[in-house]
Amino acid sequence: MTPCPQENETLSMVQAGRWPDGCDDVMRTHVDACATCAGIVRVGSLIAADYHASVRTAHVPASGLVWWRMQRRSRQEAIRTASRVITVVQAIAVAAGVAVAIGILVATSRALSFDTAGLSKAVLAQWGIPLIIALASWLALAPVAVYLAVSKD
Amino acid sequence: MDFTGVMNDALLSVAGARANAEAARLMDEESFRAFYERTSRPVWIYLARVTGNRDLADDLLQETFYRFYKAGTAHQDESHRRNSLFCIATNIARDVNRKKTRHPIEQLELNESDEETVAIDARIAERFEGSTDLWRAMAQLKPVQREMLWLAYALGSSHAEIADIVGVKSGSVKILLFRARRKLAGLLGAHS
Repeated sequence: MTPCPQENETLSMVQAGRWPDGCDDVMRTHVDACATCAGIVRVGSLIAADYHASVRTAHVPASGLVWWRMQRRSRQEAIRTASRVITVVQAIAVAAGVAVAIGILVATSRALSFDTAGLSKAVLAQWGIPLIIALASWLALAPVAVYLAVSKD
Repeated sequence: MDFTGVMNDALLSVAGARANAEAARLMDEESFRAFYERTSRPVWIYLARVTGNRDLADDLLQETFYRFYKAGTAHQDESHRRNSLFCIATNIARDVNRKKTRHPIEQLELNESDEETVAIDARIAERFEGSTDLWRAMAQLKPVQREMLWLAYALGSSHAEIADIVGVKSGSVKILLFRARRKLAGLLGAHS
């Protein structure tokens, strides 16, 4: 590649559609003699001409239509995201309910077979409040954590 | 109301608040439409030329503006905003080409060297609308070469802008552009 100090000038001329009629003899002489600028003129003028012709004939969708489609798609994506989060929350709630039910069943079955009233009272007295707080916190925070994780995508 | 219902309401209100915050961050309709009027034609032609498919360009144009809109990026000026749009268009066009794993274009990308002239595949040439000598020749270039040539000579992008849009080093643009130009000139010579 041979660098040419007039490369940018040649490029501007080609992009402006000034080749070959809109440029002076000095520039024409230079392009004839410079391989770099000759290449820019040859390729650049073809591409620029193709672009200017395409701009005149291109039919793009109306801006209002594109805006409307974007808004519709945004809404659909928001609904999909919200639905996914709600489904996850419901699944967690069901799982928590099942876990509590199983816990109650286990406790009840033990109470029937063993005299665990004293033991239960002792456990509840020592761990009851922290257990309730932990369970309530988990029930409240887990769905929020899931929501924050899911809403990223 | 049960626990699930309360949580659903809470989540919906959080989602609503997020949607409102996002709406404030995004362009309003008037600004978007003005920007679209200024840029849609160059972007559409770019997509049509880089992918070689006018019908596909309509869908890709919609996708480009949607991604641009949702990104909601604050831009320094109109030029920066426009470059960002072309960057998105370039990535979308590349994704489309990449997905066509069995397409001959991919074979060209894999096998072609810069110095090598590849035999014309009639199916590739037909993909390029108009099938002029220019586009039959352009069809044989690598996608990145088509992108660079188009940005430089059709849109008048600077080397720094081209580097930003196609994802190459700024210092490499000049030589890459030279090689693409030389190759295209050779192909045009072979066609004419």
